[in-house]
Amino acid sequence: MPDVDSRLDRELRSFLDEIKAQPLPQPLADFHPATVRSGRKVLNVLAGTVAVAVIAATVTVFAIELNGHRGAGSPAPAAKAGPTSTPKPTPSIVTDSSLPPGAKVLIPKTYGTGTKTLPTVTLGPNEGIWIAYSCSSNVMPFNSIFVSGRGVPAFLAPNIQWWLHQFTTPDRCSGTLPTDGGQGGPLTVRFIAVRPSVTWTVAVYEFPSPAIAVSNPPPSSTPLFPGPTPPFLYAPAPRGAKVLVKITYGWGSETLPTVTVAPHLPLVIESGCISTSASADTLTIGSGDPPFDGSMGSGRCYYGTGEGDSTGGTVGSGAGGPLTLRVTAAPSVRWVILVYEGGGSTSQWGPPT
Amino acid sequence: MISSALQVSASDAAREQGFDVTVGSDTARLFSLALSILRDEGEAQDAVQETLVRAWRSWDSLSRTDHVGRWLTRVCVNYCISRRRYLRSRGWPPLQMSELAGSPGDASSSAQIVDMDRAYRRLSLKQRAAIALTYGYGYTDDESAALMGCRPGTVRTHVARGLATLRKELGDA
Repeated sequence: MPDVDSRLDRELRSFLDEIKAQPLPQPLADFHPATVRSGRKVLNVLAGTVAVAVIAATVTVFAIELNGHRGAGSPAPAAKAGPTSTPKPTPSIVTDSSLPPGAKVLIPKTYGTGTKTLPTVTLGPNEGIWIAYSCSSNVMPFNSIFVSGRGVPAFLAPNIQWWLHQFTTPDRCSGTLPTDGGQGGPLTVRFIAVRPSVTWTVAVYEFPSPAIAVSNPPPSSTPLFPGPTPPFLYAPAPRGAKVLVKITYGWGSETLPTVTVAPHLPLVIESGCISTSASADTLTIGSGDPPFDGSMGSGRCYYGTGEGDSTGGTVGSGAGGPLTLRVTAAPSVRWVILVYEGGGSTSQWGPPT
Repeated sequence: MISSALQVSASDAAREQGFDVTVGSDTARLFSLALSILRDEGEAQDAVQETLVRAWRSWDSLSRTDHVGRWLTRVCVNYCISRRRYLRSRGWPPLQMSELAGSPGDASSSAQIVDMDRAYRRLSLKQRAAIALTYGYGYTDDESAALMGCRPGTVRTHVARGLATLRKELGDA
């Protein structure tokens, strides 16, 4: 054992224990190399008598696969098939009629088998992505598409994972996944198959997004964000409004600084959130101050795509006073919040008296 | 013919069962080991899948040995190292990017863990492997060297340099 001081030793062991404690991903727990060789097993037993039938079946599979590729132009080099792949017809995707205006090919139609990472591409600022996909499995556990990198067009998350459970036919998935724009940058798309035998087709397009690009990535804690309006918020505070809590990013639960609300002015709380966990996607904004008599926000962050909300009220029945807001969310929930008073949205809670 | 097929099927079932019993218990360990080296869950899954596939292909001979766990560990560690090297040689950036992007995602980790993670990602792949094997799994230098395919002295060097980097990154230098 090397010589190491006790603090580093303790922290290193704690860190490695943390890694060890991570649960085994379900696709890996379900993975079984034996299940992908059934065809070979049959061939071994019946080789002498049914060779012709096997060859015929192979030709049929090849023909179906070839048909699946037809019309796709020159497909990009397919992700390298996994060593355990089982030949299956590659599902085709139909996208051209539904593409947003101005869409351009970012990653051409790519065919693959099993879990594979597509080549990294660079997305421009204010560009959204439109992923068209199909796969040969549509039962739980679902396949998923994972997008990571600085160019991920979802400002509140370092990555996005979509679970492919759009039911079109019982034995395959198919659909499209649109996003808003972001800051731009490198972007990596990964198809995560629940079994190595799953075949899939993915094409990625970029298109001009109406979302406002931001200039900086989210901070690592919850400092104020200086950029323009991020996704999920309706707008900057309206003219005449006084911003009490500037646009602030964070994740998990956090108590915001106490602010003082003026008398007779409606308070508006704009928030948005996105979750990186399918099981924890709730954001609640509350206050420990009894005088707050408005409605507090509590919404879903819709795993992978995010959601915005706006709520508000008055403090002290219009008398104003201190207000401390607390955001309650799971650590997997990233959020943004903006709080202001006054401005143009007075009608919802009545005019100042 | 039917009888023959059934015999083969029963034999294969026994083979699969033997594989499951012997290798299945190692899957979680291999995953955490791969994750500690690659620091990327997707790549770690790939590494373990590849290890299991290789084990399955070699199962007829491997199952007759008494060092399956060590064999799996060696294959997994070397796959992690070569995979990473392969990706880097192709100018493949997502590993580093996903590392940077993914590190703050697990907010449940203490600040200490986050700091250590950030520092740990500065280590070379072999330094990570050497530290993970010796610290995380308690292998001796000789055992780690066998698993990594290098000399024990090289393992000690990787560990020493890795720890020095950690000290520096954590402000202990």
